[in-house]
Amino acid sequence: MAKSDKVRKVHGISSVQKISKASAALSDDDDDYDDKAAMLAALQAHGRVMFGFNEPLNGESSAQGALRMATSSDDQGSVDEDSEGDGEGSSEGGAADESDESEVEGHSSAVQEVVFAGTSRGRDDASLSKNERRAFLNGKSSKLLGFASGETSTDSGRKRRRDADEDDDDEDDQSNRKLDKTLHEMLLTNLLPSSTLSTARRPIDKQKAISGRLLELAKYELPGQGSSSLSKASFSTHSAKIRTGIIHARDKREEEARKEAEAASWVRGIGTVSGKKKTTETGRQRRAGVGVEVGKKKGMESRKDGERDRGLTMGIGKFRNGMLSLSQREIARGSAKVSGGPRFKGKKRSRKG
Amino acid sequence: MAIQGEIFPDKGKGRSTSAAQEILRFSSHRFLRQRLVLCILSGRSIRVDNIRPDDVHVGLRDYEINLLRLVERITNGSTIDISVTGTSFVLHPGILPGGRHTHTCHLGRSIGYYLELLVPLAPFCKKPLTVTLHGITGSVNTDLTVDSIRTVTLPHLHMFGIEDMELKIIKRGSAPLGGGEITFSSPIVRHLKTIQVVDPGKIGKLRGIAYSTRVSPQFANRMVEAARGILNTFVPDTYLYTDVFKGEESGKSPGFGITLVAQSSTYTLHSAESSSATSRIPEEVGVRAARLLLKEVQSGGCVDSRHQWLVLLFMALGKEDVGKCLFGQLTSNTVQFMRDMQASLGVRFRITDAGSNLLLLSCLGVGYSNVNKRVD
Repeated sequence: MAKSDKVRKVHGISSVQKISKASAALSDDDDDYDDKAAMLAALQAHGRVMFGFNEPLNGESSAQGALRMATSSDDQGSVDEDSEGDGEGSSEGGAADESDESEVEGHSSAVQEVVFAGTSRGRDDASLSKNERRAFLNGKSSKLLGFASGETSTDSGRKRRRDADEDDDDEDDQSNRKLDKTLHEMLLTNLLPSSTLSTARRPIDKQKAISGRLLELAKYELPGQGSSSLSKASFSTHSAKIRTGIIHARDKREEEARKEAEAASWVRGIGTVSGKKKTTETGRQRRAGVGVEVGKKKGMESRKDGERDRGLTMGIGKFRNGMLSLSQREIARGSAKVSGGPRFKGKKRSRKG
Repeated sequence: MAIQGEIFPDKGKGRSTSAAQEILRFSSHRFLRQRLVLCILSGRSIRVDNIRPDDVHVGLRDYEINLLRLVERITNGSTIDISVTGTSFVLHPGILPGGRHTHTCHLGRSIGYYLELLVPLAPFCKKPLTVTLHGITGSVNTDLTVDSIRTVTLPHLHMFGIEDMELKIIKRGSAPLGGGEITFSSPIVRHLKTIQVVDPGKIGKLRGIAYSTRVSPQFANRMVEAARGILNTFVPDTYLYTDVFKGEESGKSPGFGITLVAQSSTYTLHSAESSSATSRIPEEVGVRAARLLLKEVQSGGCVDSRHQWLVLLFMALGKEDVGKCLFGQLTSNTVQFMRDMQASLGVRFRITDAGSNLLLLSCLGVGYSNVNKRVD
């Protein structure tokens, strides 16, 4: 009785439990030997299926199992199986089952002994391959690299850094960028005086130092004066508004000069018979040289010429066509200005009334 | 070997320049996805006739209409005209803009069915493509599971220079009710590399994933142990992982399956899979998968037999250079695909016998470049 209870208790595998329960339900009289034989038969069938032996997987009734058990009495072959659990597969219940089953098997004599090795080795494998498991189950195909294509593992590091430059497929572009980088470093280390490396910490300082040095090298500036000319250019004496006005005026002047030159010259575009004039002598070019301000500055409004109120408004009314028109409100208020919204001098105002 | 019901596509009168504008005509519902891929990539309109004309359920099935809807979603400017009875349709392809899309796949086929259409198109979009698909992540009717696609299809593209493809399984869902969700994202490339893969190498590693949804997690373990029993004797470096999703993320129907992948010393991959659709006993499923894998490895070559068409497609779309690859036995899908490629892209393959049932296929690429990709 006790033995059979123990037998029933230790069976943890769910399928075998089901079969054992079923067979227990069938044989109401609870003949110990029949039960145990039935359960052992079920276990054997399970084992055969698991280890892939080529047998037809027909169900075996408990009676047949008992018969077979009785006939194969002296079969003591022990089959050693290496049951390495996979990473996360072996649960604690499974481990307990296997070790307990070996006990159960050992008790009866007329049964094929199946010895399961302990799952401690399986646990070691679990910890070792944890990283591998994560890499394998990862979504990115590039992270499966440890498994899939190991030769591209070196490329993956470079690929991540190059992610922004997806257009640089060609070898040429790659080598050009390398050359640019080398040149930049050479400029920083060799061309600049060593003192600048310590003083020019910010990127803008480095930029100015390099541009200044290049100007000196190209003989546009006296040696030692390169960055000072740049600084002078950035620290203007005028306010921003006046600077923008200067830029606008210069652009207009250039445009007129260009038109005149084009009209006067024999060929299209700026040029004489002898060739193109040097743009540095005739005035500022459209493209920004070093230290030349072009383009829109912050706060620079698009100015529309001809919209400017010329002359005599004195802050009130509209002066157009030689006539100063005052509205009733203005007159009523005396010299008070019309209040309403921000006022921008020079900007076209649409006023109703 | 006569393939029942196959008609060679009309080629018109030779390869004149007007042939590029002629509509390609195909017949029958078979090989539909590969023909759609060729249509979109080559930019030529296709017309498919005689789709199940004698069947009780005449014409296009629901999952095929869902597939055409997916095509419409990921392309821009394409027109699909389906006849009244559904036995024929015309597709005028548009461009591939890329971007983010979501699609609910029909439950008649697994998500792998739809992904097999997306994977060759994704690298040629204007912007990187990200697609979220809902449906059945398991396998239905010998479709690929999402595990296969992730561990086999995407690494196959590495040799063409397409790296950083990603397939994330957010939820699993088995047939028949599905409930799975995956996210597929792909980078874009301008050109494909030319491959010269002639050495299959020796199998050194075996990996596998066993999944189970809405059943006891022990089922996955049992499949693993059954497969191990067969495979351990061949390769010592065998790791089979169990991937069990629980609760919400395990879909709506019970099911389980296992995917096995073998990797050789030269990084060629062979795979096989089996699921609860074939058998209700996990041990049988595991054993079947292991035996299918052994059979697959026996057929040899450098490419898994279910991915032959993909490799051939990318060889044909490569730079104008001769690409070579070693194959095992060619499947009928592959053979028909080569015929369709000749009709649509004009690419011919040279097949030479490489001994021991292996074939060396080489071709001259057409120099396909991703014109959709922006020049920044």
